[in-house]
Amino acid sequence: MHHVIIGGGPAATNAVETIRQFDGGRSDITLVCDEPAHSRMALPYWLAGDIGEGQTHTGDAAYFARLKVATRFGVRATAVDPQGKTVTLGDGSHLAFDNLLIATGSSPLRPSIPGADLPGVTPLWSLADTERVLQCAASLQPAGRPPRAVLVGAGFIGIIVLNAMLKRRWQVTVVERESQLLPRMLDVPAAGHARRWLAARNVAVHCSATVQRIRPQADGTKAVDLSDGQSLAADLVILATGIRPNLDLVRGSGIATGEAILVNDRMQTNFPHVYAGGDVAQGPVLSAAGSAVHPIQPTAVDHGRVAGANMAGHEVRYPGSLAMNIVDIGGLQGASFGRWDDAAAETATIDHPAGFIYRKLVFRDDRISGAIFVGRADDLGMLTDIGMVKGLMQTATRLGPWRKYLQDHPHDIRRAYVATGAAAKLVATTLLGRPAQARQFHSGSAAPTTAANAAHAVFVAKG
Amino acid sequence: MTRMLDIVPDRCTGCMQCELACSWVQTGSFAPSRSLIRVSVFDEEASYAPITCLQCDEAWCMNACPVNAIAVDPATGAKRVVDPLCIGCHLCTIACPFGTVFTLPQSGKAAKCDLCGGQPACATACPTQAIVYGESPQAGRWFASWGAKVDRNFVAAGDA
Amino acid sequence: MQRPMGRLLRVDLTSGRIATEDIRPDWQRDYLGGRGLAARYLCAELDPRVDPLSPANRLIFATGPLTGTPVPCGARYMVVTKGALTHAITTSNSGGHWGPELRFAGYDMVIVEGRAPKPVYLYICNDHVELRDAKAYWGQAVGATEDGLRRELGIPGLRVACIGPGGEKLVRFACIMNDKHRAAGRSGVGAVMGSKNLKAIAVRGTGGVEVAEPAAFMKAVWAMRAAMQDHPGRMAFTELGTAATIDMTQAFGGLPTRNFLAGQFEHYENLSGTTIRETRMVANKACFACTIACGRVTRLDPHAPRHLVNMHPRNWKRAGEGPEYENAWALGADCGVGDLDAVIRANWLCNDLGLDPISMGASLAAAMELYERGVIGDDQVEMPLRFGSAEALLRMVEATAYREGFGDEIAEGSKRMGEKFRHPEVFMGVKGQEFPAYDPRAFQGMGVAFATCNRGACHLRAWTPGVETSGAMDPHTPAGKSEWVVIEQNRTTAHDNTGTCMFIGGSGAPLESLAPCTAAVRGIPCSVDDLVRIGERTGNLERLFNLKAGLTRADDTLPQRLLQDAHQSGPSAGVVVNLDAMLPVYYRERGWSEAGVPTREKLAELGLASV
Repeated sequence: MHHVIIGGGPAATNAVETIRQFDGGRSDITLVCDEPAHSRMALPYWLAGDIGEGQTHTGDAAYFARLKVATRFGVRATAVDPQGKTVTLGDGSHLAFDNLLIATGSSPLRPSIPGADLPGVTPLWSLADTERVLQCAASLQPAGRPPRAVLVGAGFIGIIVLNAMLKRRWQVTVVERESQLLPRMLDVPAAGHARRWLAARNVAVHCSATVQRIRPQADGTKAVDLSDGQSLAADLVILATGIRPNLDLVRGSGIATGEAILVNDRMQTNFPHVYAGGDVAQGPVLSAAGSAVHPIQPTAVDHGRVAGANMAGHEVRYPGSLAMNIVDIGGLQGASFGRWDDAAAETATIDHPAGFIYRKLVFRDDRISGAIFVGRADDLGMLTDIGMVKGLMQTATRLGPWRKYLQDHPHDIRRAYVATGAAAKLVATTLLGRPAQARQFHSGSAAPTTAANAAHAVFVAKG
Repeated sequence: MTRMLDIVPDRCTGCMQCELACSWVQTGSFAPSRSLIRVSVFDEEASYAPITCLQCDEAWCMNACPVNAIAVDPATGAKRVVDPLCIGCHLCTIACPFGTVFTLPQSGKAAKCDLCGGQPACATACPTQAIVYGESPQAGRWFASWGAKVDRNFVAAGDA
Repeated sequence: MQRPMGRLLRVDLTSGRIATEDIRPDWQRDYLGGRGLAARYLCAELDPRVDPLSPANRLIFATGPLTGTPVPCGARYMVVTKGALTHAITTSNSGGHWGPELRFAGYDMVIVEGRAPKPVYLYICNDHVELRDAKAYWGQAVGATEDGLRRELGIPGLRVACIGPGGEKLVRFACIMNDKHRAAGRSGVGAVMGSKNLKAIAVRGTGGVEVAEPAAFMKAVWAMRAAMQDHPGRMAFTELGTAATIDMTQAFGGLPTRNFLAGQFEHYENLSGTTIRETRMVANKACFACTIACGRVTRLDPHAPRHLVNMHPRNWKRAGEGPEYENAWALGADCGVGDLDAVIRANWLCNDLGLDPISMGASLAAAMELYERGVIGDDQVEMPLRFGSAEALLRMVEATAYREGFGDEIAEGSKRMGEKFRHPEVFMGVKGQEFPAYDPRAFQGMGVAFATCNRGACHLRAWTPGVETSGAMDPHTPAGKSEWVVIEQNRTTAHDNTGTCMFIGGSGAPLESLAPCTAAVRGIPCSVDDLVRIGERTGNLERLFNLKAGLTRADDTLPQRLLQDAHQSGPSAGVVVNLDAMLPVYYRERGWSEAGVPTREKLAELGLASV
């Protein structure tokens, strides 16, 4: 049995580990990826200086050797023949497979504006992008001032990058074509909190504005001309204007696509031995009909694990992904789940502008179908509620009399969560029908044991 | 069987000694808002209980982590945040459907119950043995009966 | 993160100005915290002669150095102001979670001044402090206010101290409630808050309390925990709550009944700790850090008559807490009501409407006496105020909170009410404040304790029945009582200053065990003698405030009923309070003149010469 996996992100590595959990190494696995196995989620933290480049990696040679995976890094898969069960690689070679997982991820959309290809104008999507931006910033150091960056696009990715740049104390101006920040994650009032929060931290935000052109200046800087007539001076322009699934590989192959590659609840495409997962897959949605692309880390992990189990011959069906995101907006947390934008649904909201607190619960039938939270990072109580709302949605728990209670008391989620028994259901749930196993790669092989804690020792000594 | 934190809601008085203990372990000061075990006080239902990580089989937090910063402590079986690896992305927080994985503001790192390496301070602190660290056949087995009690008392109250 | 004691928040409601200040270190040294520290600020800033309900009055909320720590029962805060009921300094203590939360927000005290032009509430979230419009909450009961603030602000962990309709209507014994069921109960601190148009203080704190010497501190904490764990006093509090006391006071003929006309109550068993536990209690509830959990979460008997328990839908509550011993007595025995469900329900109403159940019950008892004696007639009341009437009890609690009908008279407290109806003898209390549940004819020590307490009649400043019934003393004679009360007042006052609950003393953790905790938390040596001296200094300071406020030796007295009219039957029959024998001894022990004024020498000794 030969499994070929195309990609090196979370769907791919989780599929590898899951296959090995089930088959103990009895099959052959080949992993093809044009970049090293790494976490795209981690790149902004490298940009921020929180971690080094090495910590973005999610597997090294020793790890793949231990898992008995043949790796073809730096090579791109260029074509797939699902009927002939072969993959063509960029170097002209071919790989035969019994099972194939396509986990090629997604790519940033490049806006077609003059100057988008200038040096210093870049998305922050790959290891190479990140390294380029850091080099550019370093080259500005002799100027003795922080880099001036224009961030184009204030979606989820844009805001994470923004946060990284703020940690670097760069001077950032945000340009967003829609009338609010995070338009696919927060509603208008929630985004208003985020905008006020950023304004209080001297981050200029231009909403309802687009970049018309980027003009190179004699001193190497750029002038970014906006549709609202302003022109911004910038050393760096970061483009975060959306992503699209990487479907080039499957075009014309006969593998069915919609917005992305269509998969069933076993992550199979229209060819049962060809699987897809992660950003490139359009799969089942939790508690809803139809399918969707949820280009988020937790969905990629789920896809990889479900695909891996099925590739290893164990039938595992995916209940579907839940749209969810959480983002640190310069110290303010914003999170949303599910169908928070369902205009026809009943809602309960809390809006406390002075405290930068916002909460919206969305109800469909007898259940919570969506939610938005905004709040300061220093109140862990909100994080409890965020998790519990996720639990209520994950289990599609019927609220019964608690629905009215939650509509009247949206601040008191715990009571409904406990009383409706969501936790008891969750305890009994595993995706693969077995306990999850720890990942077998930890960057720098950090020891997972508990370090000595002086405060703990003092407390439990009991005199 | 593995040793787990078992909660006995009927013994809990809502005194917050567990939150004091946990926050002390996390921060070196008494700051219940930093506790990873959090007491629910349901006055109207006359029921209280602390909730913390169940070390659940699905380990949503561990799975969601993009940089494999949550590991299994071989000594206790606890899912543990390996601090130097954590990037602070909060994904574990939204992935956990129990509301028991946090991000601590001062460090910006994820934080969850790690059973204090096998000597949980919350269980030590509890004056009524409502938190018991011992052999248990099933994590969170107390949740169902506690939830039923809260629900029953709430529904009964609605009739009043 | 804050130092062991640090900052105070000053809020001028008149101007809306909000400022923080460092707490004066010399006053911290001399008074430690809580009651004493706040009293020091009050004495420095307030003309003691002001009308307590005028904007000039200060309202101080003060925690102690152990508030918010795991020291057992380190939950307390003190409200210090000039009392609306007493016109003396008052120091009203409460537990729950609000005091610790204030410290977690970074403040040890809040000083409220002035009067807001319209109803407001104070919102504190760490460094964010804001006066906000309270229009939506004015008129609301305590529970609805707390829930409403959480809803409005969206903070599940919010802690709220607020007044109910009682405080808004300036009922002279209105309290400040926190965490729905805990009260800074006595002397009308809620009326002072109401007079300032301040509905609530809502707090969320995400900081912590630091400890200077962690190892020594935890060692001291665990020693207290161990001493309390198997202590019979602790177990009795946990098992039966404070209401267990009723068996003792009944047995000694010291359970004041029908406005102190009798010393025993025929239905006392209905109100006992055992009855409450076995028939109405559904859970123990603890305050913050409390390892006792004397709180009783109660439900009414499902078969209790609906007309009794559900008279007024606007205040219907499905569950509540209590009664404590004092409340079971005041709303029960003192009014002659033996119906436990009615007493529980009245207790819940007091909590939700923000009334001190002791003064509420005692003032109603006085009104009942007036009614029974024909002083007030049926044309003046909406229903007969007969002793024993559960209907009257429940209705008058509400009528008092909203100042409806005769409730408007009761709302002034029984001293003013008695004077108005020309029968001042029905007032059973001291300095305008009604007695709690001990008849000093059965416990002489309580006579001198009540007469000399700086905030009017109070059992929480020196509690003598324990020692008087232990066999060590004769409860009916004055010998040794004054000496004991002086010592106990000093110790209790010191205890109050630490921010812990009084009940640990009876639970195996006396003041001696608090000294090492206090020392370790601050990193400053502290002996029990230091604490007692701090307590004595605080008591004398309060006394000075009262003297400047116009109180004299004549206010250190008891009603004629206790001094002249002995009970006709029962264990305390034939005994009156011999205050004349005890008071001079008390003054002497205090180092005060015969007029009850601290001598220059005493003041100099305590470092109070300049006050």
